[in-house]
Amino acid sequence: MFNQLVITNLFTRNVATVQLLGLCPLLAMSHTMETASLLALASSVVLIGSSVVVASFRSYIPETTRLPIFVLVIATFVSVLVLLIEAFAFTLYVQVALFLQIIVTNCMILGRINQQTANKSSFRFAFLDSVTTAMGFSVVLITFGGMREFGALVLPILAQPAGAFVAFGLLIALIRYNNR
Amino acid sequence: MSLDPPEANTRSLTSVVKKFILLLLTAICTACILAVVGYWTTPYIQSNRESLTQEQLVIVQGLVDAKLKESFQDIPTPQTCETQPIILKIIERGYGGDMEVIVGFTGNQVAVLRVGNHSETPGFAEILDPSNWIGLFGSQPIHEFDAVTRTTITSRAVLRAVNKAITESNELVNSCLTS
Repeated sequence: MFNQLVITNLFTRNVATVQLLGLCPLLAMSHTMETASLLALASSVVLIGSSVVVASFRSYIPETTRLPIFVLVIATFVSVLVLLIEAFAFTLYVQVALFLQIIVTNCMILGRINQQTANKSSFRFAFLDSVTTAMGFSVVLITFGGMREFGALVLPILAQPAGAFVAFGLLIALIRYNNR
Repeated sequence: MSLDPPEANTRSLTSVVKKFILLLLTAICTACILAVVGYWTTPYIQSNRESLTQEQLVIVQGLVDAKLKESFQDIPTPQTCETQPIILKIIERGYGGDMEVIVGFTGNQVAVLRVGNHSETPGFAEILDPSNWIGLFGSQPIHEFDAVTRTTITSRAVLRAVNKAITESNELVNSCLTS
């Protein structure tokens, strides 16, 4: 099951390059590998943590109150993470403060949790699914961050938002061509 | 007029109340968790912010002293009211929240500017980097500075802080002269 999930969530159904979710932080914070790595780690912690909590209490959450409870759980994880980073990694916090806080609105996280709940996924499946989804998102984010940081030495426009959009579009095209 | 039996309405009301209670309990739990983590991390966060402010104050002090030495070509000169170093910290409201602007004066001339703690948007806060816009203060006349395109609110907040600092430093210099 894990191998299947790895192949699906890293390649064929990658959340960033195939499903096109969570692109705001991906494009905003991928100008260096350092910030991209921090955001990838933060998003992964929030996704896996929220997924585990929701999967644990899934049977007690009625369908009509699912979304507000999911958002509360995700927001709590994000707030705790922001406080911890501000307390113990202040230098990094100063670089990415606002983009850590808007992980709450990252549609990748809410979409994934909603999907797992709709499919009535078991705790184990939800955990593995969120781990592999986080891996897929992180690989794309860090790779793209490296591309922009080192590519900008040759093509300075890659450091700018316009260049990021074009480069990401080309990356999606390449991955889609590879997947067909 | 509702044709539902009264029992169905009662069950529906009970269901709504249950959902409300569930949401309320979730909100209370999450608030408690945040309160605990917030209480635990507050001293560390305060300490980090104070360290950053102190670091910027030391940098400004060093740069102001260097400017004074440069002005008098390293010849030790008795400090006068017009040449005394003044360091002021002004808190001004930027785009994302309060911003600490540290202004260093040689007398009533702006010598150097640095920003301590702030909540400006990463990327747009580039202008607050000493190698960028803020590093130009002290090398150009103040009246030549204007807001920066796409960071209007941040740059205007800095300019307001500088104006307040100039007013305060003029008062300090005048009180020094009259004493």
